[in-house]
Amino acid sequence: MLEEGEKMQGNEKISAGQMGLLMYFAISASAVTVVPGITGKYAQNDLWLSPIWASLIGYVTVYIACRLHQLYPKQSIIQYSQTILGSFLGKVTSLFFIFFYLHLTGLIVRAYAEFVVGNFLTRTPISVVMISMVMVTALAVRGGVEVLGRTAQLFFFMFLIPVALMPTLLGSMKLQYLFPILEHGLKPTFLGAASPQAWFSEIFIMAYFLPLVSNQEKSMRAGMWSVFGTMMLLTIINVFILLVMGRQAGDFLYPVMVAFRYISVADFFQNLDSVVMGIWIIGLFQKISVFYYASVIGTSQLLGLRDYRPLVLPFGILVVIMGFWSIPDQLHVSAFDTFAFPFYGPLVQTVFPLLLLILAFWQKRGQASHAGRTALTDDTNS
Amino acid sequence: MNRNARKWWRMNKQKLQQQQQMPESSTQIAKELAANEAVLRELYTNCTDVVYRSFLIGGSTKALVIYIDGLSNTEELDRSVLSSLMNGKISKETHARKLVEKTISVSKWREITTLEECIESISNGCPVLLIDQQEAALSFGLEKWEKRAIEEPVAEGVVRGPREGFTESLNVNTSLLRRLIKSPALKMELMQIGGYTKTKVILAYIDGIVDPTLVTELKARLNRIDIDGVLESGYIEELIEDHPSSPFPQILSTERPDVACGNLLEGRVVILVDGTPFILIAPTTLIALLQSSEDYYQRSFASTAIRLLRYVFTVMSFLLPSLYVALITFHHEMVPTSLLISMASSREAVPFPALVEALIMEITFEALREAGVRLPKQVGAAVSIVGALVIGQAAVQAGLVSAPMVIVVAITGIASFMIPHYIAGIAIRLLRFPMMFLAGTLGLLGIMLGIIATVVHLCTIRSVGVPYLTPFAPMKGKELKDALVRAPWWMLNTRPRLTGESNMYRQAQGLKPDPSKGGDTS
Amino acid sequence: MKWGLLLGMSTLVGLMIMYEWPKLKSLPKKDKLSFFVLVFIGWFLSLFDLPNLPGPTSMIESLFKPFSKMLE
Repeated sequence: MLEEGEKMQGNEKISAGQMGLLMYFAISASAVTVVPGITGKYAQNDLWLSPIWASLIGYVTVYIACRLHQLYPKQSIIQYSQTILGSFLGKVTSLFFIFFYLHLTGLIVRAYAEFVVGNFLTRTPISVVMISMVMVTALAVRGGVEVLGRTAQLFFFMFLIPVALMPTLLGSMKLQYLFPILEHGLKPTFLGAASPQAWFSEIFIMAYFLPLVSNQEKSMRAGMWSVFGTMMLLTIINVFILLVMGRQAGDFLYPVMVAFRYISVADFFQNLDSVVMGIWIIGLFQKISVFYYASVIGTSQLLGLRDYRPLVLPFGILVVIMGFWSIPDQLHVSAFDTFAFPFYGPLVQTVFPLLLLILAFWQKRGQASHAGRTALTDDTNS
Repeated sequence: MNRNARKWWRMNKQKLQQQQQMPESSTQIAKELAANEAVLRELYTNCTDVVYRSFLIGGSTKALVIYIDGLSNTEELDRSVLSSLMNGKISKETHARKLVEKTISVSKWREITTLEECIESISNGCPVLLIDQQEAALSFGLEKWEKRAIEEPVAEGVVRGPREGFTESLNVNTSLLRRLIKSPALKMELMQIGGYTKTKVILAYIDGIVDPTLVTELKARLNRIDIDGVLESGYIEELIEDHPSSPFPQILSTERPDVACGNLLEGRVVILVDGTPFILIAPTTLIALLQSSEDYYQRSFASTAIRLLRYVFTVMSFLLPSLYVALITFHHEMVPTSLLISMASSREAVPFPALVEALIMEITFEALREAGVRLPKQVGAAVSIVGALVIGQAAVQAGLVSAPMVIVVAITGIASFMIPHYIAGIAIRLLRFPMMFLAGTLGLLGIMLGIIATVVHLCTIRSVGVPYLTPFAPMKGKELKDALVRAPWWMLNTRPRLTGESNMYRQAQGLKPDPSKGGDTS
Repeated sequence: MKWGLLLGMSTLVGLMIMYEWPKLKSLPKKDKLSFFVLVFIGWFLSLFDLPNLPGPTSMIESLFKPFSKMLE
């Protein structure tokens, strides 16, 4: 409790609840801004159903991550992939995973910066917005996982303020926008779920945090709750923008922002979109720091370094670079989110871990039967 | 470079010992009185405040009393030591200890055998009696010097609550603690810090409530200190804190015995330093810095309301100027139109951008505040007149600053004075300036980034191992009853967990008063 | 513009090394090496006109092009 100073990553612990909150931020923070627009394009006035379908992959991913961690306790994906796939293939996989999360961090930072510059600081250079955010997150990542867990607890309630502001728009909501429900059958809602399910698969990042949880028995429940929480948040937000804007919701890039622009309480609190934006910056900070932390800690585990902290700043440069590389403008960001990520994300974060899990089960069973046989022979010998 | 400094310090330390001419700790008191006197006179060369009084015990044995003028109670010394020894019938061979048992009527005394102890006693105000042909000396606890009376603490005033404050003398302070906590479980361990000042430092804690590792850790940190002098507890504070490069105080300092005792009862450790009314309390949290002792004496509803008000204004003192700058510079659309028009019209004549205007005003305000603290009380009024009239009214009329800016600065100033602990207020006031810069360059985004960076910093720092934001992050649901609100006393059953794990409950369950429970004597 | 970027990046990298070095000094060689390699990669990559170069993002996009048709 009192030992400060030489604090290695080994003895830092977070609680399952803190991990759940981190995961909640890790999915929902950017999903809330971008996903309703993409979903709305496909699902029209049934867009509120899509997050429910999409969340299914989240539950599956949580299950996979937790089972893998049960099989290899105290290890992250970087470590057990080398046990499962052998040293060389495992290292290649780990390298890919590190790249995957680094690349994703860059994309999130870029998407965040486009969001801020597009809505709000139109004359600020995008690189300033990106670098300032990376600097703040680097501070948190250097602080370690305990700091991340604590900031998540502090910011959680702030992040709910936008939801609390929704009732102020009750006056301009029209219930008839909801109907007709399922006009074109279920197919549009499934297509609308394509993008959010990629976000839900991001919860696989908990594979990096599971070894750091102090009360392991609760971690699966915490993961499931954060998927459920995200699903509820997305559904509520989608219903809300649908009731305010109707079918137009899909025409906007950031429909939530547009919806909040309608708010005017007592003619004094107007244009609360800036406040909402400010609060989402907090959410995005948390999301970026989680992804940033995962890629840095993964690298330090792969290379077997004693301390991950010196890698934080160089990774910051790489994150900004990834946010620029082959993305000339905002259109490319949303194109990636809409068309490539729905396949790429789940493939890496759900399907591949599933294969790992099957392989691990198979190996463990082989080992178990082998061990059983040797035990038997031992018995007969004695 | 570092190594050189260390070597230099080690050499200097030896020199220091020589300069102070301290005898080796093992130098025994010699049998010959003349030899001892010579050594002591040599040590105290040019020290005119040392008094030597030689006399004959019972008219035959040579003896010498040494004390420092002004530090000892000479009347008592004359009456109970000198007169009784000189007039009594004492045989030549009586041992020093026998003298105390038979003739000297002083309750607090000590037998000493080395010259170093001798010097220590003399400098602490205890007269030392040396007797010819004896290798032991006597030191009498007759310290007495002029001290300030116990007064009401100036920096931490209360409406309801005890009005006693600590003073500069250590034994008065320990007696104040002991008067509130009478149990022998209240331990006070003495240490000496400072090469020249030899300041007495007392580590007080309640055995059975405090976490023993906390005491050992603090002792280790105090023992590490190797400094020439400790003149105020601030020296100690800066030398034992966890994050020296943080603007936030990680150790609470207070002048109030009731605050000290409240913290002792919650399992914290109190450090008293001789020569200052400010004692230290560790570990502490940000929330503790935002609480006043009076919160616990007023009714719980009132205290809760005041606490919430204080939190709101603390945030305001941190953010208000930067929010104003951001709104004026970047986000006009967030301000209601009518308000925007009146703000714009008052800003019309102002030649500076909002950021510069805010900086000028905030710096001026800080200067006024500092001047108000330093100036003699009679002149203090002049400062407030100059501040209010010249800076407030004339500057607005001359069009140098806008009226809304003056209002913002005034509210910020008042808000920062609402923080009960002065030092915490300073930390927040300092951070206001980088926040204004961020607001002036990146608007609301800059403010958000500043808030995030501050929160990350607060989440990083610890006070003697306890996370600084404790009841909130990491979240301790049970402790919120004494952080976010102030629950009534009959609900505050448990001590804070991180400090008082060994003895969790502070009171019996079910103390909620109720007419049906009245007079229940079973 | 290009030179300004080079100068800016070099200063940034220099500051970064100066900031990390006191702590890095006591760490094993592997830690030092990986720090400098990563810093170098970052510095090197930043010299290109990245937004208009093919990179990981465009590669993944073209890789998943056949599937993306499903969503159009």
